[in-house]
Amino acid sequence: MTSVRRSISLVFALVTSIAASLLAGDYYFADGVQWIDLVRIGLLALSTAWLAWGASIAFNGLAANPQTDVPSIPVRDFVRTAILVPVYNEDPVKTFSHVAAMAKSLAALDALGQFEFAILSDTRDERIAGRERFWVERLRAEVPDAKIYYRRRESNPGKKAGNIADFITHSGALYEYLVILDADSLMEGATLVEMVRRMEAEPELGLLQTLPKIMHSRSFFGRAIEFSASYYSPIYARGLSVLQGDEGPFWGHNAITRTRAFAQSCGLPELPGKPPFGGHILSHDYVEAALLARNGWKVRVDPDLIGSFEEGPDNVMDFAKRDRRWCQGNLQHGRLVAAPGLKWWSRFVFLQGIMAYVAAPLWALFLAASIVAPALSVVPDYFPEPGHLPVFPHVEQAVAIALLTGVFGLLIGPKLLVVLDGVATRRNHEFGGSLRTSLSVVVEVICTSLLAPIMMLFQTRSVLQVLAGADGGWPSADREAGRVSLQEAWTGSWWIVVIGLTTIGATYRLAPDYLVWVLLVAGPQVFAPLLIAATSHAPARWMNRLGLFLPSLERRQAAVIAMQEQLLARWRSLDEANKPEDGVPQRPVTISADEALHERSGA
Amino acid sequence: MTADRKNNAEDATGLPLAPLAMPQQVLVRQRRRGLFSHPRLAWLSWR
Repeated sequence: MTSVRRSISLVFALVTSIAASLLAGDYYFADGVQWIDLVRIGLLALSTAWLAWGASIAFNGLAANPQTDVPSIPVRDFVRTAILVPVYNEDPVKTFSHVAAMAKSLAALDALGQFEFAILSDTRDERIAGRERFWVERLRAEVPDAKIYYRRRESNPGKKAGNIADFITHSGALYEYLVILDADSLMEGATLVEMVRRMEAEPELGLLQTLPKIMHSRSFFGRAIEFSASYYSPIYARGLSVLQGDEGPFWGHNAITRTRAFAQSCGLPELPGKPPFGGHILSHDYVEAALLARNGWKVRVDPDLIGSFEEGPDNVMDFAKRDRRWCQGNLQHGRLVAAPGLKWWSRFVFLQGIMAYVAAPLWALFLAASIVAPALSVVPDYFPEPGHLPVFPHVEQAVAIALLTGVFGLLIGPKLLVVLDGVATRRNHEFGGSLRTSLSVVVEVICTSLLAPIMMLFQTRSVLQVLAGADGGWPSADREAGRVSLQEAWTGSWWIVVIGLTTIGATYRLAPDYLVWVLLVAGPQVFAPLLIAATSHAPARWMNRLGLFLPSLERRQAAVIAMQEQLLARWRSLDEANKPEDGVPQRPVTISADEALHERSGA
Repeated sequence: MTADRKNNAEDATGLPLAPLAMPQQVLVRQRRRGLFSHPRLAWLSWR
């Protein structure tokens, strides 16, 4: 069945791409065939195929069964699971509050005895390391019944993958399963227990990935991302799950793996050559999933598993910074597409990841080619036969409109279908009802449309940097990145403004007929610093009163989040009262769901 | 330090000691250097 779905989806993408190419050909060739038109059609074909593939994932998700069929097998009396929390220059007060909340959530179910926490520090900053040592004792005092290990590596070869491999080679034989988290991950105890149960029920399952929902967003941008992740992602993840079947994804965190399967399959080498294409594998998670599948283990994502959370970027700059690392990691996978023994679907997933980033420069090239094309066009011969009436080129405006409608349909159509599905299944009630949900969808689409041209340039720059050999490495995450000032936004995006203005100027000069369309792309680019700064602010009170981007019911009712927020508030006041001399700046308390509803001034 | 942790054998890193092998995987095909490095053509090579 998986093969059938994959074939249908691929055919859909191909047919849509061919249809778009034919329509484009009708439009572009109206005044004769030129080489630039062939370039435009080629770029359009690739981009449309990519959009259509994305839409097909949503269609599959809407058609799929929302619940995973799990055999009903009781868990063995004692199954030892380690919960790994790799940290790298994080704020230990915040990270350890997550650990404490998860421990308490497990204790409430009388399940704490089956789990052990291992905080695996790769922290390089000695002041932060000192605070880690201080706060791990505070953590142990908070949850005395929890088994909590703390280890800091002297050096961090292999970064996060190496950190986890180090744990496995030191202590892995003790544990049946490993739950791999990030420093900002948070999971309900019931979810952790259920993950173990599902692994027990299917001995051939090597890795089970949950769909983490975003929490603790404060800014307009963050709340939009949180809404997208909660509202659309379960549908898309379901679609991904049915298409990927037993060769599913691993996203690096909020997942459980069978220790022996992972150890047997996922020892990652350094690739020959220097970064960005050589050296340590940056986006190791996709490779680990492919290697598990290569060794015959099933890898699956179960979107019906709720109670899995992570934090997301709260502003465009932070999003772009994270995206730069992911871009490098995905392009590096180009070295691995031909790796021996991989399943064909795993190779396709690598190509898919590469395309996710290459799509941006393709669109940029398409835009550039469209602006330049009129300047290169041949003047039509109005009198091909002397003495006869003039012959004018037949410009197919209807074809152009059909093409544009199709492209917008692929972009927006799936989202509208998710709304309609929400009406039919009453899922919209979790987001405040169909009216509020529709409002959030409309605003999210507008926000995405304004930011997409800016992100297109960030991603294009990332691709060019990687292809030019620039190694972005793995910078520490600024998980508390708050507002971006106009000055900071200008520093980070002045070059986008320049490109936007240049594009408008070139269009006015070379292809004035396209100016209105080009303004849809170049306009937001010209205002990039303003958009970046504005969306980093908290939503206005009136937006919250309307229920815009209302956190989902799952988010609002998550006991582990409430527990973590209370713990963090208490620890912050302790931290302030006993502030060490190291001068490490304190971080604000993260915003709770109630506060997000009633709007605070933010960080 | 909790009593439970004192009962586990721990190494100097603070983690329980229970090694598990994690062999390195082959991800990049080995490149043959030169025509005669292929096993079937090796007899054609000369020293």
